Amino acid sequence: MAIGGAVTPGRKAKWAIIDIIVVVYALVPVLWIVSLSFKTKDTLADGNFIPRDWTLQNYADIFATDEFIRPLINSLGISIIATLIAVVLGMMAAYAIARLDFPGKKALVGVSLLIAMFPQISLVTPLFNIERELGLFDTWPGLILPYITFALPLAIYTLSAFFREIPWELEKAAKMDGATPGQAFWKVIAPLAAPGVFTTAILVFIFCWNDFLFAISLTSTEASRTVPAALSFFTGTSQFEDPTGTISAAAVVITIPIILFVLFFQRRIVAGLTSGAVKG
Amino acid sequence: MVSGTFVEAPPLALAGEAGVRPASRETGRSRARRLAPPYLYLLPAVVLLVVWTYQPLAQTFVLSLHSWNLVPSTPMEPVGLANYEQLLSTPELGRSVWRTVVVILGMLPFTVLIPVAVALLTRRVRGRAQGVYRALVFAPMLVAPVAGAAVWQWLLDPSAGAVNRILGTDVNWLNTTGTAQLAIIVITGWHVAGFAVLVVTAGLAGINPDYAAAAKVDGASRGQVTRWVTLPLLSPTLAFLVLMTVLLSAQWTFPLIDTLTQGGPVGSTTNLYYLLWEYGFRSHDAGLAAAAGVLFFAGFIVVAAVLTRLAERLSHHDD
Repeated sequence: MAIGGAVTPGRKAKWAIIDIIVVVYALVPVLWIVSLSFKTKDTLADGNFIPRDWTLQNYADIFATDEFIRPLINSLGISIIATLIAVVLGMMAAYAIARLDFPGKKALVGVSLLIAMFPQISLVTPLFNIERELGLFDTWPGLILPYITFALPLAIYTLSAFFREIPWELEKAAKMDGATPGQAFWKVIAPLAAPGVFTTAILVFIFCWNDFLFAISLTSTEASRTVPAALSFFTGTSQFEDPTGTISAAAVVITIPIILFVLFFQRRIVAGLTSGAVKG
Repeated sequence: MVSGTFVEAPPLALAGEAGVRPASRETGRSRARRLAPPYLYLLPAVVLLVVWTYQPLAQTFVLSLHSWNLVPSTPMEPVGLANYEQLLSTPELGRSVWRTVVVILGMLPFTVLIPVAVALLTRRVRGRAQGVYRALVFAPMLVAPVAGAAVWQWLLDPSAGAVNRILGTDVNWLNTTGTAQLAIIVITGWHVAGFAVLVVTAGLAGINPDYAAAAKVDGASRGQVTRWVTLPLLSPTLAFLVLMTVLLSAQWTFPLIDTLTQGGPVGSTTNLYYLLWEYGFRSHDAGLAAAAGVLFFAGFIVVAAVLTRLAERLSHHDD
């Protein structure tokens, strides 16, 4: 409100109401999952937002079964490995794109970025077939490799936007002031690049962690099935039981860490996104 | 390594690089970095992309000309264009294309209108509150779609669901042909709106405030500034969001459809994306799935090209 126009109480109230509606729409379902996960089997259907009887039974149930623990380990391992590799490969490619000039650059960038919007479904049947021939079907690498590939365009796009904004002359300046190339990189460039790398890593991790299409198409057993795929097979502790409580508990376990993580680092992430990437 | 062949390839690039940076004061390390061809940096990424996307894409073309049930022991039979003929003659295809269009149109309010309104309204919120607000709106994006589906199934439950109690209705949202598609759209919208808000916020942050200030000095009202200065400058961001919505909406709905409706009731939520998955993984008809995949991909290329061209023409650029 730097220039002109007084903030009337009416206008302020209007903003507040719209903001509240949006937050409620965004947040109520999230909180509802948390609420369901603490309800007992009998009160599950009572429609109360605040559970009448609190219980940790749902959590105890999921951690008592391999149906959840195995997929959780798979999800963690596959997502972390895929994220690390995708970010490293993305950094290399983004460095070349942002810093170097070479013939064919435009075509290469185009080919790499086009994939971001590829209809993945067109590729799933042949991928399934290729992986089965190579013996990669239903293994960790069988998910890690497609995840890296489909995350790469996102990683390259975000990272090259960041790298373009880094004042690389500082590296030279540091060297002139007597820093070794290693020092110049780690003390000057790395801190400047860190928010971008961090933002990219989180976006890639969310993509791998939440993926459903590849997870159900390219896995068949607990050897590599990830949590999103396993959730759709959840049946509760016995076959005839309504699994809603346990599914909610599982959903909370896999969602809350990411939310806390992002809340904790959101200043950096939003600053990262607004400072370079996604700029039309 | 294949990379050996690349080493002496680009003398042009080296000449350009040397022109930019004088070679005199460089240390050994940075000279090595300058001499290492840029292709080496790109090689691992490009190899992965070729092997895991362009190669399956080529295989889709091959499969689309064969009849095969995905069982390794049965041979693939070449059938020419029969798969395409069968596909184009099924009424299912036309219906699923139409449903895909409905999903895209239904998603636009969630990915463009609401995010722009929210981002404009919260622009003046400053400091910590703004960060917290953005994080809250962004939260659904972090919930795995399958987990989101579980809770929405509960919220939309015909007897105990919160939605029916708030609206005072007793609609069986997910099992009625008229409402299932609507439910899928609202849930998908819930999931991605926060991301779109973030994109618009980033777009707004990139606009030079001098333009708005100048317009105000000239006596423009706030509404006029928004309509004639801010929105035109935001148009590249809006074009990006529309493109994303058109190309990715069907993809976003997939986990929700698979867990909530399985394409039903009576196929009313089977869009092109889900139809393709059913051909491949339910009916195990690899040829038909591949033919549909090829058509989908061709359509996708055309739509993407047209939209990009349109966006270029309609967008106002700052510089």
